[in-house]
Amino acid sequence: MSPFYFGTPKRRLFGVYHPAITSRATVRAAVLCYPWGHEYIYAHRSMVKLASVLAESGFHVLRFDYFGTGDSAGESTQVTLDGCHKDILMAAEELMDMSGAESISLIGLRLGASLAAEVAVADRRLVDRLVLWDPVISGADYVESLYHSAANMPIGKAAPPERPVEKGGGHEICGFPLTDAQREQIARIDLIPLVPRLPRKTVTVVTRAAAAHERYLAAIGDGTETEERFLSIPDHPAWHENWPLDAGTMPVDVIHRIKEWMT
Amino acid sequence: MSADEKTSAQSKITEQVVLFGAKSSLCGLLARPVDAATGLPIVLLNTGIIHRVGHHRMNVTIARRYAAKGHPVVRFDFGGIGDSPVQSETLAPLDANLASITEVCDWIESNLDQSSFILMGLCSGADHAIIQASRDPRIAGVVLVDPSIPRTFRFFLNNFVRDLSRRVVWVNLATGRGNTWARLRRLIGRPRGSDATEIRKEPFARPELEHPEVISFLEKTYQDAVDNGARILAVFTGGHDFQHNYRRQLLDALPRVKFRNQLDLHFYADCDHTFNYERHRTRLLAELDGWLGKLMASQNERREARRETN
Repeated sequence: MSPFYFGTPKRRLFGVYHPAITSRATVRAAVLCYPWGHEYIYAHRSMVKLASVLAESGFHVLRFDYFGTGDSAGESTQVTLDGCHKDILMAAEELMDMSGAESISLIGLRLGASLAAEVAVADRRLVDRLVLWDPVISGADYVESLYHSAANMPIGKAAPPERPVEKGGGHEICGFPLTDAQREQIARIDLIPLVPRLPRKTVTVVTRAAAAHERYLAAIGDGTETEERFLSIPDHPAWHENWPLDAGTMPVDVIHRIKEWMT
Repeated sequence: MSADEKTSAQSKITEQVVLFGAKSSLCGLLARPVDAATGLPIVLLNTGIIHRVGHHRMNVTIARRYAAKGHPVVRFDFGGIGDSPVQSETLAPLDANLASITEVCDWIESNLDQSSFILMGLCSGADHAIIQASRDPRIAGVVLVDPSIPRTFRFFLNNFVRDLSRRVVWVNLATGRGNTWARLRRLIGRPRGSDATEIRKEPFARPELEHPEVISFLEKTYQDAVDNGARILAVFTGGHDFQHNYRRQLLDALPRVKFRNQLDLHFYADCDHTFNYERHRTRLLAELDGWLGKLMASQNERREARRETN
């Protein structure tokens, strides 16, 4: 794997490129889209594993941090969803340049899945396959769950601290700032209206039941035996940690099912 | 520091990817001032299995903050963590990680012309830092946040007194529930069905640290680090109150170590282990600012004295 910076001087992004280890008849490439906040921290290990598994199966893979997250430039309070969409497009272009692929697959986890879906709908020629892994279907539900997690951390039950208005307001969510503007943007996410415009080859993989799944399942309809659309795989949620009981646990079933579906 | 101030601080620094180690595969990020470095290089170590970004992106904040203040700062992943592959099939993880720290310091020495370093670590990172400082005289300072130390008599006394003030303890005592009753019933051979779940396994505490051999090892480690000239900033949090619960526990737990004037010791009772809240991180950063300021002043004095002697 090769870690590197890409993007523009004002928007430097950190990425890790996993070149394909085996060759395929056509060049295939996948961009991995991370979750947000504490979910990103916990999911990193599983995303590295998924990238390695895909590279071994002949995919060129790029993992990257959105501006204001991980090792990329910018502050956590500067993250915007529009910015993340641009970052995914930049990462896709970068990967196509590096690999020679003419289209790419997007694999997103949690908020990263919703962002990937929005990008795939906006640029339908770019994305050939889409994997939505435990996607945020309803932004409002997700925001509520973030506040629930923040109020019930293993360190004790306490309301998430408020942030000063001059710094964007909002609250601290499990160690990360969630400004008022960010909360409003995330709360507006709704995956269901996008379903009819998603790429034909789209699969949703879920490890945990969510309130929005019923509506979502109705929207995507039943798959066929040859075209799976919704996989419910009881496995560890990569983006959640119950330290120390499952620290470092990777959802190997999910990772291998995604690889199988991709290949 | 507001986002704008942070962005402006970021414009005073550069960040680059560096692959350290004999195999050039230890993934690291070097942040450094655009202008010539004026501070000692800082190396940030992994906390457990969390990659170099750190909990709540704390290591990124620390790296950029101190790069803007003149320090070259390296964050990197040990083998098998984050983006670094396993480095050795034969060495134990601790030995492999210590070898990796040496390789990073060697790289800084060769490429940045600096021969003294500061290591910073939280939890297992702190343990790695102090052991490395005991073996490498180039380590001028270590920042240890919640390093592993044995529990002491006063620790247990504090725990007992704290328990006395908890309502649940008295309720359990009166109703025959809880740990103590369950243990007693087991001792006299009359356990209840619920006792297996009543007895907490206390998975967090580490009684093995109280073994005389471990205490000797820790005393030697800390003493060697001090004798090598390393200054120590040790911060303990209330978040690990199953292992430490008062400021001077390090001194009581390792009584034979002569820290001289090289130890700065703090206990943040209300702070959790990974500094979830911004106010706690701000407090830690203020502590670091002061300690680094003192360390740099003493380094500069030493340099001046050497210059005058020559």
